[in-house]
Amino acid sequence: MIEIKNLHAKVEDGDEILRGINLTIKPGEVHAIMGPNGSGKSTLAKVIAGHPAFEVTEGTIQYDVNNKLTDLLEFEAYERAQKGIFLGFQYPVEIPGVSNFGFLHESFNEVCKAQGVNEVTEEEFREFLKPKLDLLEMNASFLDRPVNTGFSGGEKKKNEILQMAVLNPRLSLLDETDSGLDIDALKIVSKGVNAIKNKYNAVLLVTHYQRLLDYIVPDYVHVLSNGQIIKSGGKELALELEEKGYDWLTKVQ
Amino acid sequence: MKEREELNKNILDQMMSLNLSSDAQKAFDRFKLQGLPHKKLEDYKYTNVDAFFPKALNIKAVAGELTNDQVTKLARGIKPQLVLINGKVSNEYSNLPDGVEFQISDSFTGNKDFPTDSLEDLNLILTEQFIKLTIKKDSSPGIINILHLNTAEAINSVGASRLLVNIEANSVARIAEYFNSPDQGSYNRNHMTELTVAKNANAEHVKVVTEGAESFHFGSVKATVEANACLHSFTFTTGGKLSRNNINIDLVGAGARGEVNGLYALRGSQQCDNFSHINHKVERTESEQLFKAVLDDVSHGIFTGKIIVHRDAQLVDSSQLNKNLLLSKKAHADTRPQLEVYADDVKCAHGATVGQLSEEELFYLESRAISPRDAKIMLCHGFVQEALDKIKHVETKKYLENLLYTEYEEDIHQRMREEA
Ligand SMILES: Nc1ncnc2c1ncn2[C@@H]1O[C@H](COP(=O)(O)OP(=O)(O)OP(=O)(O)O)[C@@H](O)[C@H]1O
Ligand SMILES: [Mg+2]
Repeated sequence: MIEIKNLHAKVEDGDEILRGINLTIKPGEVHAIMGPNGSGKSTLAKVIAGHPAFEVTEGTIQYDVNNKLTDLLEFEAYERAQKGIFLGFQYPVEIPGVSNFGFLHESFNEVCKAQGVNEVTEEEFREFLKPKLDLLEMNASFLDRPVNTGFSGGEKKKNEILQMAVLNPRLSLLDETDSGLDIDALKIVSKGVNAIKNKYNAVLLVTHYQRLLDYIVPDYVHVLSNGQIIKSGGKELALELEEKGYDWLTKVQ
Repeated sequence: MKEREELNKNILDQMMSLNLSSDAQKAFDRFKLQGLPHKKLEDYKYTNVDAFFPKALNIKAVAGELTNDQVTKLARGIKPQLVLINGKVSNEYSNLPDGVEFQISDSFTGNKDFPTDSLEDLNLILTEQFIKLTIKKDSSPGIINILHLNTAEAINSVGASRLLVNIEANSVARIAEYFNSPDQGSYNRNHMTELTVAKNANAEHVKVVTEGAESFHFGSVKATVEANACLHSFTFTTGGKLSRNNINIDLVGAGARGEVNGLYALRGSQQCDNFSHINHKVERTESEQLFKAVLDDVSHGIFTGKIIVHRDAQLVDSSQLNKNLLLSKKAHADTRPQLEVYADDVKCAHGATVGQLSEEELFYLESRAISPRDAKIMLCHGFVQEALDKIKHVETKKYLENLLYTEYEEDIHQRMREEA
């Protein structure tokens, strides 16, 4: 689904943040990325999603479009989203004055348009949303509020997964979706992600906590440190990290 | 300075021949002393009007006519209850509802105690028809749309008009004034609206400035609000090369409330100077203000909010906010709150922001498949909606949303295509 090779990225006039990332994700897989604060996890997710603040200085990202690996860096953020890439934000952005419903509707229709499917009316979309809201145990009143504005930390994260459920992406990059969630909300959100998951799509989870991985079980766990993946393994690696921290890895390096 | 003296002399010379009432004569004498406003005056710190009073300007009302088709076109979908052409009422289109009394006189009948600036004095000197509407006690006549249109003859002239609206006790008044003209040539419009809002009345006055691209719009709204009455004022500006909107509200009875809001969306080298002045003259009066600006290209938006809380006007509650969104690096916003509080038990809040579209908000929308262009539009709409939502009369609000979201934006996109 996606092949990242020797990816280097930096912010304009800044130091390198990503220093040679190699990562391949196949359809149906769940990958978890762990690693110390500031190691570049969010940056990796944002670079894949096309955030304009980062500049790729070396390496490639190839992404499967119509069964053909295509240079993802050629596309702007909105085009990547239209092609099925979804970034669940570590810090979802508040947008006062723009209604959550209008935003979701426009977003959904943009993806429909890009994928050659008919756009839907407001009424149709409201119906379409109902089961998604139920899945995430969200009250419909969230739709009529401005995007994320005044939402609690947990509500914002749920709203991210609601968007994921609406857009049905092929590759979801979920950046610390678990942080700020209470135990019940964590279960609900995980249930949501698991319901959307299937053998055709893939999920990249960024997390600090093993706990999330009890609910969304990864096929692979990677440790990112100082802009590089320094260790990869199966789900048991997460348990080991939980126990020992990162020191033993970063020191060996 | 010398040049301005010449301009003033030219204006005075041209006005010499006018037949002035005693009030107009007083205004003339004041104008003679003060001349045109200029940047050395605190109230006109950012705005110079000299360029709109060239020697060749005709300082008097001009006659003119518009065909039905022209009126329809300039009305842009508005159904008017009153149409003024070059400052004069056109009988053909008058269609005032029950509960509204209509009079025209040739002399000033409004409040003589309001202080005036020299453009307001000019208005009194030059106005030929003083229009008076009375919204009868206890009545609720519905929307009164007033169209102010100019003809081609008004180019290179200054035309003045004046409206007095007496809103009697317990009535509900909804008034919208639209200023428009064929988009050509430079003209100079000077219009004043005076509102008296009697006890328990609920009034809304919306002013829509979509003047021609080379024009100067000077407008002044002066209102007196009595006990337990409420005035909602909204000033909407997208037109004119230069516009100056004075809004002066006296809250004179306990429980009086003034909501003074506005939206100005400018581009090119447009300049819009909003000057609001609210007088809390007695206790338990409230005012609330929100002015929002969207400034593109090299446009210049100005907001001054003067609030005076008089001695003994205790328990006053007043808030003021001016928010500016800059869409280009060269657009410019000036904002100044001016608070003078002479009572001690008073709540006064004020704030101002000047900023650009947030990169993070744009990226958030773009990461959800929305194109950069649509994302910008969504964020701009989100920004202005808060202001538009202050308009009480729903159809007027919808109309202005539409005006802003379709015509105004279409224009911008058209221009972008032409430049490309
Ligand atoms: N826009 C930016 N401008 C400057 N530096 C940045 C920017 N974005 C990220 N960085 C820097 O890049 C490094 C990696 O940041 P990133 O947010 O990717 O870390 P992270 O691994 O997600 O950390 P955390 O676990 O705390 O979320 C940090 O040192 C951060 O300060
Ligand atoms: Mg992070």
